[in-house]
Formats: sequence, C-alpha cells, structure tokens
Amino acid sequence: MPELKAVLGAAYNMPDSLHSCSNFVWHVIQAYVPDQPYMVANDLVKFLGRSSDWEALDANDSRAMADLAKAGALVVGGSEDHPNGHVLVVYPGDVKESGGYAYSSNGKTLIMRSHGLYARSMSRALGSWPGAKSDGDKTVWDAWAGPKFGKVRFWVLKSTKPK
Amino acid sequence: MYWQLARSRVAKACLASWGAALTACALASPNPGASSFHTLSPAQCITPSKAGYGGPQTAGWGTYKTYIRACPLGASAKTPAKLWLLTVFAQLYLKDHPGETTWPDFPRPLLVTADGHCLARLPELFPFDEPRTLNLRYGPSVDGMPAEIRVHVSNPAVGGDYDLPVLRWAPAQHAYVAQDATDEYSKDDMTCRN
Repeated sequence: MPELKAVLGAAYNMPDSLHSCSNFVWHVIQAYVPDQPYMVANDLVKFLGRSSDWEALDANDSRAMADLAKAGALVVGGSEDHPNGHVLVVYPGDVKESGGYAYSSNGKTLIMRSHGLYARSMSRALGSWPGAKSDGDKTVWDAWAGPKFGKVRFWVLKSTKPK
Repeated sequence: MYWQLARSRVAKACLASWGAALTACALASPNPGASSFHTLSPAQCITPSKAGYGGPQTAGWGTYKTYIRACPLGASAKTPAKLWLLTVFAQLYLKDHPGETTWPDFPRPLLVTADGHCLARLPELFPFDEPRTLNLRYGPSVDGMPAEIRVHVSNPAVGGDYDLPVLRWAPAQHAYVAQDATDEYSKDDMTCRN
C-alpha cells in the first residue's frame, strides 16, 4: 500500500491540483484506486456516501480520524454546497488547535483564533480562503471555519484501514 | 423611564458621532429596494448603561460586560425602540485581548423588549462572529415592532454567504419565531431556549 504522506505530497504539487480541491483529492484516491474517475466535489461527496468501498466516520471524532490517518488510512472529508462543494484529506498527525493563520476582514488583517482541536487536513482550493489551503498546517475545521462545518462528512477507504 | 432616557442617549450618541460618520449613524438606514426594511448599523449600538437598558442579563454575560452593546431596532426621533438587540462586540474584546488565541465562548445575542424579556436569539454575534460579518435588516413596523428580521451572513470561508432563518413577529406567542430551518441552523437555534 502506498505511503500516505508521500501520496499526499505528490498530489498536492500536481499542476492541476494547485487551485482545485477535487483534482487534489482525485490524485490521492487514484494512488489507492487507480480506476477512480474524476468527480467535482459535489459529485465526489455523493459518491463517497453511497460507495461500499468507503466507510462513514463520526464527523465529531477528530481523534479517531487522526489515528486512522496516522496508521496510513485514507480519510476523505467533504460537503456539498451551491455552486461548489469542497473536499479534503485528513493529514497524518496528532489533532491540533484550529486557527493560527492570517485572514482579511473589512481591510484588516486578523489572526484566526482556535475554535477547538481537530484532525489536520491536506487540501487545495479554488477560492482565496486561507483555511482551505493546507499542507497539514491547518485542520479539517479551518476550511469551513463556522457552522457549515456541521454539514461535513468523512469517510475512510476500507482497504486502507489498519488490520 | 428607562426608555425615555435611552431614546435621548441614543440620539445624543448618534449626534456625537455624526460628524465622523454621518451616514452610519442614522437611527435607521433605509435599504434600497425594500423601503419598509431598515438596516441596523453597528454604529447605532451603544453600551447598555448608556442606552438605559435595565433588563436582566443572562448568566455568562458578566465576563463580557464591557463589550456588550444594545442596538435599538425601530427607534425614531419621536419613538423609543420597543425591541433591542443585545450582543457582544467581539472585535472590541479581541482588540483588548490580543494574547488570547482561543475564541471565547461568547453568549449568543438576544432580541429583547425594553424590559429585558427575551423574544428570540441569534446563533451568531452581531456584527462580527469570526470570520463572518452579519447584516441585520428589520421591518416593516407593526405597532412599533418590526414584523420581520432578516440576517445575511457574509462568510469568506468555504461555502460562502448564507442567511439565518427569517424571524417573524408572532404577537400571540409574544416572540419572534423562525419561519424555516436553513442548512446551517434549525428553527430551535433561534429561540430563547437555546
């Protein structure tokens, strides 16, 4: 089985991943499921929800997600939205405080406070929100950074779960 | 008595800052395209003591006493507001606490009558609930009470902007009642019970 960090690093730097969450996650999944077709985020979330190859996780249990990723399992999270959803991968490592990055609000630069401990994320994004771009330095919460995180669901690829 | 005082103090507060922000301090800013609705400007919100707010404060508000603001909904030069929004100005708190790296568990804003009776609750702080900015519109006025309260949330994070459930005045229940749940909040999230 491929080594998760190496897969994430390679996918993260592919040219078509740089501004696309769905391309990034697609390249990651392809390392484990070579015939995985490309899907936009909204379609991928629907697919993960009905695929028997993927197992739904408790979205409120970030420690369990982090432990799975640390053991090399592929955990993907995402939510549908209009017009574009968002998808990410859980980065292997301990849970960490969310926030800690700069963002702009009404012309001022602010530092996002922590809103709790969450699993780390690896993700790319089309938009400019800094919480959605992470190479393990941000958490799964930071992309949505608010009540929309309540809609996010997570799945583990069963074939990558530790025995 | 409180509200005669409040009216005069709100008016004075507005007049005091009119030189700097004439448009921001109108008691009710007309909203183009919806003339019966008005937009609440954060500049209208003043400390409860200056507003003369004498109603009870919910447990947990004491820690943020300095940062609580009372915002009149529907006041005019002739009539004091019957409805107030009590909210913590998080930006002021954060400015005074730059070393705090964790977002505090701020109490959620209350819509209250002049005597402090809770009529509804907002699930996010007005005007700023990191990293989001809230825009509150209210109207049309029925016996001095806004018939509807609409809140638009400007959200720079993934998923973008959204609206809170619309609150509609229900005289029989003496409360503002959420009309529909949204993707983000249930109708119950808007009640005084939560």
